[in-house]
Amino acid sequence: MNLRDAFLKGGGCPVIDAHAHMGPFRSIYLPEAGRDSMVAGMERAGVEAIIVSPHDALFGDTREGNAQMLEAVQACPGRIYGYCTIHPGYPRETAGELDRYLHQPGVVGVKIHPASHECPVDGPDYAPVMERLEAERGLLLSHTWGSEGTCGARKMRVIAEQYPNIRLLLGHSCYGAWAEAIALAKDFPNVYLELTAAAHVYGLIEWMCREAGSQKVVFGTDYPWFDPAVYIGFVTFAHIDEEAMRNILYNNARGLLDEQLAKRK
Amino acid sequence: MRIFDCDAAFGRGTTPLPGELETAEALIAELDHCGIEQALVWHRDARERSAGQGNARMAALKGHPRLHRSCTVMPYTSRETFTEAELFEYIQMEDIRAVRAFPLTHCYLLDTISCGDLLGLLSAYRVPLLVPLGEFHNQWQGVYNLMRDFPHLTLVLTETGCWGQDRYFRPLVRNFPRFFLSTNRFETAGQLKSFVNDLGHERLLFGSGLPFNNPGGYISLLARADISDEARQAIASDNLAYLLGEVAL
Ligand SMILES: [Zn+2]
Repeated sequence: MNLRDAFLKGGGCPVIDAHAHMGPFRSIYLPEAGRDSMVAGMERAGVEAIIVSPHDALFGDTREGNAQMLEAVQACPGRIYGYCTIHPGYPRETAGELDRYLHQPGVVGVKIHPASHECPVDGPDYAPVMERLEAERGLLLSHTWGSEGTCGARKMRVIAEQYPNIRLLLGHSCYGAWAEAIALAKDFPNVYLELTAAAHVYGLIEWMCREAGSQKVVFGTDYPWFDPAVYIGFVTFAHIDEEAMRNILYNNARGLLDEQLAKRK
Repeated sequence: MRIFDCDAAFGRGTTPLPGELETAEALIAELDHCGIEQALVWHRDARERSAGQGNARMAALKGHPRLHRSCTVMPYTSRETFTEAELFEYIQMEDIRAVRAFPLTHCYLLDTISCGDLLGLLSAYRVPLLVPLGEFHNQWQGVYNLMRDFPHLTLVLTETGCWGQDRYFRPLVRNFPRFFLSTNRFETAGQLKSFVNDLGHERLLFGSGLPFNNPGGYISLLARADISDEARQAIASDNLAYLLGEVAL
C-alpha cells in the first residue's frame, strides 16, 4: 500500500510537527486547544511529537507562557518539545528567559513572532537572541510572511547571511513570497521551509521539493489551529515521491530535534 | 468514499499559480490522482477576465460527463449579460444546475437593490448559488444581509477561511436551512467533528478549491474524521448530488 493510502486508513509513517502552539486563541474557534485534547488529537492523527510555543507566550505575558511550555514538556516527555518564546518588546527579560529555558531537557529552540510583536527581525532587540543561537548552533522558528515587513523574505535573508549557524525554520515559508523563500532554503544550508498555512497552496510542496529539495521542507501545522490530518493530506497527495514525503513529515524535523537534544544531555 | 467536488476550476488566469490546470483534461488528470469522481466546475476567466468569457469557456467541458458546468451570473442592470429570463432559459437549455457569483471582483453588490430579481428567481427555482466568502463586500456581514433578505436562497459559501470561523457561520447554519459551506479551507483541528456533532452533516459539501488549493487535505480530513460513515459519504458527495437534483427549472 502506498503511503497516502496508509495514512487514509489510519497508518502511515511517523510524523513530527515542528510548529505548534497550545491553549485558546482570541479569534479562532479551537475545539482541541487544551494540552490533553492536543495529545489525544496527536494520537488519532499519528503524530509522534510536536514542538510548541503556547499562545500565552506569544500573545500574553511571555513569562507565563514559557512556564506553561516547560510544564507541558515535562508532563509529556518525547511527545511535546518546547520553544522558548522571546518578546522583543521586553528586552530586559531576554537573557533571563533564555538562561532559564534553553538548557532544559526538551526545550529545543526559540520562537519569535516579529509581526505580532511589531519588531523587525534584524533589529537590535532581537540581536541578543540571534547571537546566542549563532554561538550555540541553536534552532529558531520565526514567523515569516511575504516579502517585506518585519519578517518578510528580504529581512530573513539578512538574518541567514549574518547568522549562518542558526538552524532557521521559516514559519509559513514567507507566505506568498514563495520564490524568495524557496531561494533562501536553496542558498543557505541551515534555512528550512516550514509548511504551516502554506501547505494548502496547490503545487507549492512540489515546487519546494524541486528547487530546494525535500530535505529542506519541514512539516508544521500551528496545531491546535490546523488539523494534522488535513496537513498530512496536503503532503501525501502532492506529486512527490515517498522518500520526499517521509523527509517532510519526519526525517528533517527528527534530525533537527536530535541535534538539539544531544547538546542537552 | 465517492467524492463529488463542488468547487473546481481550470484555465489560466491573471496570476500564475504554483500548480496550473489549464485545460479540462489537466483537471480530469488531477481529479483522477485524487480519486475525485465528479466536479462542479468553473473557468478562471469567469472571475478574472469577465463572466461572459468564462461562461463561453464552459464549452470545453462538453463531452466530459464527470465535469458539471456552472454559470457565472451578474445583475442585468448594466445590460452586459443575460436578462433574468434569458439566464433561466439558457441554464435550462444547457442543463446547468448551479451558478456562481464574484461580486467584489465584478464590482456590484449581491443584494436586494442590485440583484433582487435574480436572487428571487434563484430562490424560487432552488438553483444553488456558490460564492467565495472573500467576494462579499463586508465579508460575513454581507453574507448575513443576503440570507436575511433571501432566506430561501440556496447559498454555498466557498473558501470560508482556514481560521475556525464557527462563531460567524454557525448562526447562519442554525437560522437558514438553505445555507451550505464548502470544505475548502475547513482546516481547523477538530472543527469538522464538532460541527457534525452539533449541527449535523447536511450543510457541508466537499470542495477541493482546485487549482488554488491542494485537495488532499480535505480528502484526508473527511477520511480521517471521527464521524459516521453516513456523514462522511453525505459530505463527500451525496449532499451536493441532492442539491443539484432539487433544482426545479
Ligand atoms: Zn504559529
